[in-house]
Amino acid sequence: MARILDDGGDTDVLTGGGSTDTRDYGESSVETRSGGQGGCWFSCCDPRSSLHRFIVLLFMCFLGFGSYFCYDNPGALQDNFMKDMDITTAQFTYLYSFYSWPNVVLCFVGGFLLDSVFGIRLGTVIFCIFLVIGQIVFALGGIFDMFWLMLLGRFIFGIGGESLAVAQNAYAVSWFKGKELNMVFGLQLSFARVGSTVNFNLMEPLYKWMNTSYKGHTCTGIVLMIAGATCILSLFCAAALAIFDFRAEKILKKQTLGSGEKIRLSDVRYFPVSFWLMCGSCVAYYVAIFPFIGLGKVFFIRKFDFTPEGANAVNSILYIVSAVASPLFGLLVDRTGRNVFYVFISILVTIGAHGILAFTFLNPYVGMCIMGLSYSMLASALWPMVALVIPEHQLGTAYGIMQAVQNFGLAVITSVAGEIVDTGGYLLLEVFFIAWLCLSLACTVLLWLHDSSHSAGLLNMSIDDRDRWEHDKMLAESLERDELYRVAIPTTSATTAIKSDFLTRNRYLSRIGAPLPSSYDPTIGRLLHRPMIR
Amino acid sequence: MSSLQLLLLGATLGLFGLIVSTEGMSNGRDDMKIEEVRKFTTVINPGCQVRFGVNCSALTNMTLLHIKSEGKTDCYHFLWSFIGAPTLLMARTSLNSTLNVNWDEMLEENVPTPSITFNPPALYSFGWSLVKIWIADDINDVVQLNQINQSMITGYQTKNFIWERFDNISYQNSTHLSYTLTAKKYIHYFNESKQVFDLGPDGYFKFTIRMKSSNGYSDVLPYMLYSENSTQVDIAFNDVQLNLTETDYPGHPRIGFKYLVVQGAHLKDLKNERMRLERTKTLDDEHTPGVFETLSVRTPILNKTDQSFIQWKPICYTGEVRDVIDSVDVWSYPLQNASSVNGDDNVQDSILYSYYGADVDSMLLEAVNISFGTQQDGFYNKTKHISWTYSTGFGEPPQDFVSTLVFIIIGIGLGIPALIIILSITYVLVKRLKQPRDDLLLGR
Repeated sequence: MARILDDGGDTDVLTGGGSTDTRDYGESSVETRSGGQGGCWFSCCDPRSSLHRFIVLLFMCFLGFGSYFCYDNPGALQDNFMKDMDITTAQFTYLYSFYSWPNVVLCFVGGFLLDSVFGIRLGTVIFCIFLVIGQIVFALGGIFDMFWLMLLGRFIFGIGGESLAVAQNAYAVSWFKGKELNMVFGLQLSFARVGSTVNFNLMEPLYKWMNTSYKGHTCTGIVLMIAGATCILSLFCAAALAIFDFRAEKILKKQTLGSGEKIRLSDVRYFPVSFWLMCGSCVAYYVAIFPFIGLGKVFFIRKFDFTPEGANAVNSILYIVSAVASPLFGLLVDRTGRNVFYVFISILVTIGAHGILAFTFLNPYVGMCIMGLSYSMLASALWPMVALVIPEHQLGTAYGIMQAVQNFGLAVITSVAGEIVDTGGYLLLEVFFIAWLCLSLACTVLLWLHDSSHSAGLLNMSIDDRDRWEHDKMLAESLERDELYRVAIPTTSATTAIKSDFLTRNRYLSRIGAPLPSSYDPTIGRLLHRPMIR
Repeated sequence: MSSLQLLLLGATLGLFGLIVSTEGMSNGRDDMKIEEVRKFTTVINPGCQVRFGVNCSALTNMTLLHIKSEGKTDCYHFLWSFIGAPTLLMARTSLNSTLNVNWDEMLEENVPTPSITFNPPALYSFGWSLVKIWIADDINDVVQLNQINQSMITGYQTKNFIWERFDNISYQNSTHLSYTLTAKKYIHYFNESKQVFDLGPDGYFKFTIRMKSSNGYSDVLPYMLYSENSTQVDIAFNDVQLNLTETDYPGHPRIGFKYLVVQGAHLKDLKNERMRLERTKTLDDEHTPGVFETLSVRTPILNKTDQSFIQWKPICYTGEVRDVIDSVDVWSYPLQNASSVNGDDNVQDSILYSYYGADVDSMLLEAVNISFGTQQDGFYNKTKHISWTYSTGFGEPPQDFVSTLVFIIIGIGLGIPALIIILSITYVLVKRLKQPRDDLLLGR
């Protein structure tokens, strides 16, 4: 799963939603504690021991650190960037949109490359190399005062960044499936937040410190180069993980089949309207969050008289809040269901939060904390919904499309946002974001309506209702199957089956367009029993 | 129960959307409110026939610009002087009042009796003069003038600029006018003698005066608000070298201006009220992207309604073509009491002295200091250009308003989801009511 999905704190999707079940690295074939207790090993070197797994986990967490740290480098240094590189806000936002562009495509091919071309170990290392090269090119662009080089750097960085998130999840599944997977996903997410938060709080002091000896664009470049150290750390982790994984495979005869999610674009035509409405809400929602964080620093400085450090702290509060709130909301949604309702409320609250930031002088911590909460809730409620309307074997494609659309939205809207700041100011920018949120709200309302009229309100059921519904559906299916067998046997034996007057009458009624009984099921050619037609 | 939830939320949303859009509408109406249209008439060098052997109105290096803005009941006078320090004297008079200038006395320095008068006298008057240019050597890049070692700051008197009026780029009609004056030379005094020097190869100091007889936003950054009672002033300070030798030129120059502001009211009538520097924050940066602050120097209120202001946004531009990215901050400092006795205040350099005479010391007279720059902006040296705009006029400083566009977007944005909710609920209800359950109950 790519960054944005990760950013949502949607551990339940990745684990419970079934999307990751498709990424089974055959670990289940390695049973715990089954024979081969090589006594001479310390437990920390034994791939079967939990201690060893947790050492691996440490590397897994730091694997994504560089990517998350460097992703928001521009946001943390926005004012410095604009001054040193002499660029407009619109140009500044290209730094973000160039990150998103490669991922419009990579959402589909990233998983495929990892599974079928490179393999997880080599793939991870390659993606990390992309990160390192991207960040170095980015930094060189600063040192040589060449903005296009910076954009190129961000593009390369984007190629590595999103795909690395996929690789990170694959590793997690490979090592922890059937064990502490839920917790591991949670931990990786929290670590992503830590990366972003550290970035926001570290870059400004680092810049100030470097500024005593370097000035202007050189200073920006050098600071970015230093930030690149985190990417090298990630590369080191990738290499270490490759060795661990290789060793584990050798020792445990683990099969790394990598039967990753199959992406078949031809599946798209089977996707229901509700899926596209979810896509709509998702894109319209996230374009009101991420571009805002990228542009937030200068907004907080200008409007609320914050220092650059203070402004970055406000920006990072969103990540901190969501690091804490995501698991809790995940649990809440897991327990209570009613996803559409939660999505609806989150969007409404986010509109409120943007409203507070736009139309009041209330301390921006208030608005940002509320936004952090609603953003976490949205992610916990929205992403799992996809798994409810899309069959499991198409989930990979569905999530891929959702992310591609989202990256496309981000790439376009981020640059538009920059343009708006330059020509219409921050108030108009906020209004622009609120308008997107309203669109997202409209999609959600349509989804709600569509769902309650077409699929019996499955998406907004409580968990109990949903279980009952599943149960009934399974019951109906089995009854249907029985019926089919029963019907099939006589028809195969006698080619000219005499149709009952019931069937004939109904066929006639349906031809002339008269309403059939609502309980009539054409597939089995008879009325359903009451319990099956909820 | 889900439809009940929807109903409630829908109703709330709809109500909110409605409120917002109606508010937007009423706001929109405010924009369109027709103001009393004032009519401008302009005279250059009023009352002066011939000077230095040339017809006064054709003299481009001596400018006293008299703009009369006539309303229904009174008349506003804007008297711009580029004789001595650049000055604007504003007065409100009755409709039949005339301006008289005693040119001989006015051109004479330090005449304590008024040489500029209105007959009948003005009901209210206010004026300001840009008396000094500060050039500071900001070695430690602290930006603010009051934090720089005072020995590193040099003041240059603005009366020594030689101003040239460019009539070819000026225009005027009864509702709209613009004048441009540029100085490219500066007079340096050496004991008894004086000598004229260029401001530098491309050096110029430019004033552009703009007035409109209607309310609305300027089309030049920082897009300030016009009112029919005010005038906007654009200042450009390009590559100005006031030093005589290269070595005098500061390595880290920062530019500042000193204004003297006077309100035609005796201190004893003001009950200790003084002018104040007001800093207002607005939610709206739509017109000046990224700037949420407006500063104004405001005077006490006289005769219940008479007051004046100088208003600016704390932003100036470092390129001749104004652009958001080439902008630096404008700093302002607490107001100071000033007087003609204090040799540093130079009120005698301006026509304020010609109007108020020695009486100016018993009036409300204050000094306003402004400076330009942002930390690490490379100082004035980097582009050698400062462009800044302020507006000044009668009444309260104009307040920015949130544009109708914003309200429309929010109204539509919230309205659409609300509409969908309401429509679908109506549809469902109507359908339920109209359609009886007429299943064909067919059984086997």
